[in-house]
Amino acid sequence: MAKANRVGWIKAALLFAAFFFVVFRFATLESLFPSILVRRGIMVERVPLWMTAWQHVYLVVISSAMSVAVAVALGVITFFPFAREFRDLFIELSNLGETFPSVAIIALTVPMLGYGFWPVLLALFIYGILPVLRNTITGIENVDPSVLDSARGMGMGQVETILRVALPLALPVIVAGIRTSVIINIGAATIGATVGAGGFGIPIISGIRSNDMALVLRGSIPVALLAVSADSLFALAEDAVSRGS
Amino acid sequence: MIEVRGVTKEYGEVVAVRDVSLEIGRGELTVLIGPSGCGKSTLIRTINRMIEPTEGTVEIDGVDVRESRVEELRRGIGYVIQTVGLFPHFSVRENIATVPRLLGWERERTERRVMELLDMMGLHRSFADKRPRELSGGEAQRVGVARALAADPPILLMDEPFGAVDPQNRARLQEEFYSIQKRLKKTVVFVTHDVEEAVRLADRIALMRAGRVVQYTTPERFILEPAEAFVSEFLGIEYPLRLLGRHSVADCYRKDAAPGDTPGPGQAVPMDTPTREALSLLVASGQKRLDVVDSDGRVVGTFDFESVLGLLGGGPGGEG
Ligand SMILES: Nc1ncnc2c1ncn2[C@@H]1O[C@H](COP(=O)(O)OP(=O)(O)OP(=O)(O)O)[C@@H](O)[C@H]1O
Ligand SMILES: [Mg+2]
Repeated sequence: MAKANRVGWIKAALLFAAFFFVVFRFATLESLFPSILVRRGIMVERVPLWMTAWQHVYLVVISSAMSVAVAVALGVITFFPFAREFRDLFIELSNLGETFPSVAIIALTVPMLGYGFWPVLLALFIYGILPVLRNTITGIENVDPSVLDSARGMGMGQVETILRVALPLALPVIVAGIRTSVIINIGAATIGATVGAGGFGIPIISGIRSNDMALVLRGSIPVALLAVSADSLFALAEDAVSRGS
Repeated sequence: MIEVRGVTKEYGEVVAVRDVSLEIGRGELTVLIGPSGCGKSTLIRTINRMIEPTEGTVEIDGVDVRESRVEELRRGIGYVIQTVGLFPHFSVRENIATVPRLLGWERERTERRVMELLDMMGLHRSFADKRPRELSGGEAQRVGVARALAADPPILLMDEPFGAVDPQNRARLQEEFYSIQKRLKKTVVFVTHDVEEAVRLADRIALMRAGRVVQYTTPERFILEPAEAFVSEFLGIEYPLRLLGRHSVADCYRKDAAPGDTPGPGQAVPMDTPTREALSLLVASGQKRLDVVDSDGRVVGTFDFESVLGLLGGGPGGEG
């Protein structure tokens, strides 16, 4: 277990190193593969790549943090009698969300909030809630019933049973939900460029418009690296929380 | 004292417990026994309100259990659940300290109590920092019992507390628990479906079948006055022999020795021999009687088949 973990850490560190290298030293990469990566177009980058990266990461981190907070809270309250009837609704919404493209949500938020950062943040926030919400609910539902029974039998109250017993034991499943949510949103944030939110979508979309493959790669390589590095980090987190319980 | 009055629990069509009334005396260990699904867990769980009966009431020391707040009630009653149910994300220390923490005990007091209980349950103190998954089945059950005893509750509900261990460990746990109980004198309701276990521990046994209590009395009385054929059938043909395990020769020998007698040519049995073993020795000796000797090897009396009969008939030995 400890050994597998060390491999995980090394993997995550290498992936993040690769990501930062690409973001800050894209010129080096261009000189290595001039035929693929050097832009044919005449468009001059107004924003450096690290700035694009920052916009992207910022969007994902803020939206995901909000999604997680709201989703876990919503998931937890379905275990209290006053909100029990929301349980099925939430699960259905989460399943629906999987078939519903994130573009569609952005299409809905733009008319509400106009162009720019906010509609994308809202869309990512809403979209990011779903996997975490579903996993919070199923995670708590799958906690060994005998453990909850003994919590009750020892005289723990309902709030205490959920917060001190059910929630910690559901943590591995919840973290898996956060992982899905974040990875999806790293990809979905790319679409934000179409409505002016910045991020790696900018070079990708201008590349597609001007039929410049090198420009597309300037956005897609770092966003792919960001996704796999984040994924490897969450793999470590999942590992850590499942060993804690 | 726990008084169960006319308790019935229905689950739709299924009647899990049917009009049960029991009086469980203070400081006594009462065993609920019966075949799987007869309603033992359901009945024991009405006492700490893990289950609300459909009909009937449960009183503790004359007060209806529904009168106190349910969490308060449960914190005052030790409970060992059938499936152990230790908190996997807590250390052994935190598991044992569950109720003291709920009751707001100070750190040092809790820590002292945890150590005391580890000692009492025969677990090394270093176990405090282990997680439940690092424990063997027997160790986990010991921790389960320690957790139930933590806040020193006067009442202990134990639902097959030693169910998940092999027979040898089980016998050890029973012995240990028996001596702890002798000291602590808790009011214990103990569920099992193992006759041997019931005989070893019980002051009284309530034999259940299909939601009803068929008979509720002392282990000895089950032999003399079985309420129905099911009783002898369930307890098994060897029940009387098992019952002998509760007593030693000291409880039943005939004090007919003159001072200064020395053991005869046959075999002699020490007074503290369990009656079951002594009977076995008697049969093996091929004789009708054995000399009983005290710890200094002096003859103090006779052990024979009549001694055994006296014991089972509620004679010289009476209740163990
Ligand atoms: N929540 C429930 N819903 C429906 N039926 C139940 C429920 N709980 C128990 N029963 C039924 O009530 C009966 C008594 O169950 P109980 O658990 O009290 O039996 P038990 O004597 O403890 O059995 P075991 O020795 O197997 O633990 C069984 O027939 C069981 O199927
Ligand atoms: Mg049971």
